[in-house]
Amino acid sequence: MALINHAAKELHVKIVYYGPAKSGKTTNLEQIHANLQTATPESKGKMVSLATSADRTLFFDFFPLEATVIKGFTTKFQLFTVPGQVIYNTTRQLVLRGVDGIVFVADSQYDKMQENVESFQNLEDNLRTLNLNLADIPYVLQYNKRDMDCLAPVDFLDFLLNNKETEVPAFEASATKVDGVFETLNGITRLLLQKFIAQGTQS
Amino acid sequence: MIPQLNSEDAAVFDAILRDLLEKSESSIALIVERAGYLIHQCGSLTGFDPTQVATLASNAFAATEFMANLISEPDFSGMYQQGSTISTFTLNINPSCLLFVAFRSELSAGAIKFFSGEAVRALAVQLDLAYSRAPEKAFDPADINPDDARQIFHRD
Repeated sequence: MALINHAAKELHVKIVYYGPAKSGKTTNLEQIHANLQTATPESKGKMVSLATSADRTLFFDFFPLEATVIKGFTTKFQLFTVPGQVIYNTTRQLVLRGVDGIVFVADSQYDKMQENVESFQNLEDNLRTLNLNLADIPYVLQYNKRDMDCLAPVDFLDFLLNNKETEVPAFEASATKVDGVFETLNGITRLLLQKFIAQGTQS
Repeated sequence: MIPQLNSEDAAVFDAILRDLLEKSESSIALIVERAGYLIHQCGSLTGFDPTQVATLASNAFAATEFMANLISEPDFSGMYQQGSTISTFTLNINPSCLLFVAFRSELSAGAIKFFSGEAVRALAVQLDLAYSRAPEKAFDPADINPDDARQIFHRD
């Protein structure tokens, strides 16, 4: 859950990149880390990857990022990925604890549609185990790997993943080429700000 | 409602952690939110990145706590990592926060745990106060413009 530290003038926010195995979650974080323009070197922390010897995410990838999103406050973003492989479900539940915003990274290749749907259902299930509801959490979709062959049309991905009562922003991306990566990050940040405004005016 | 900490909380955290470091001779103490945020720190250690350690400690704690639940251990309250030069304790303060302490391994782990226990109890009181505080509003909505977020993060 987000936290405001008025003493340090900081807002802490946790964003989790979720999705099926090999959909490009780690690549998103790597590309943000490698290509982000920052005012000072301290704005971007080191990237930590807890991976297997085969370079697959075992626990999570993480890096901290600072930006001025709200006047007078430094917003400290914590970007996480989860392991996509089915067997690591417990780990995904642990990483989701305290989540404020979610980027669901779907693989656009036709033969990955079932995995996308299962992973999305798994996200909803895991949130429920934490007494959270996806409808209450800002999230965006990223349709990744648009540079590959045998792609599902965006309309079909929307039909499968974005057919809830409230349609959420969806971004086409080719994370390996950095296309759509920053648009996605800015998209989830925008939704988080909207939520903060709503909370600020309600309380 | 978003939990909020103010300068009074920071002063109390600082006093408690300084007292802990002084009594226990530990090197560094961190208050960590379970989501992985570093809330407060006192002390220093060469080559130590508190932000990274806070995140790793909170996730390691969560994983070990889950394991404890699996083996039906009802009272998991802390984690001890014994090193050859530096050792660490990660202790549960309340459902939201943890205390992380790093100390030279030649020091008595029992003494560190004892003094950390005192600190945990004092921190829990202040954190309860902080989390139950209900300020008028989190932010002035005039200071937030969601459209600004279209361009917050840029590619180099």
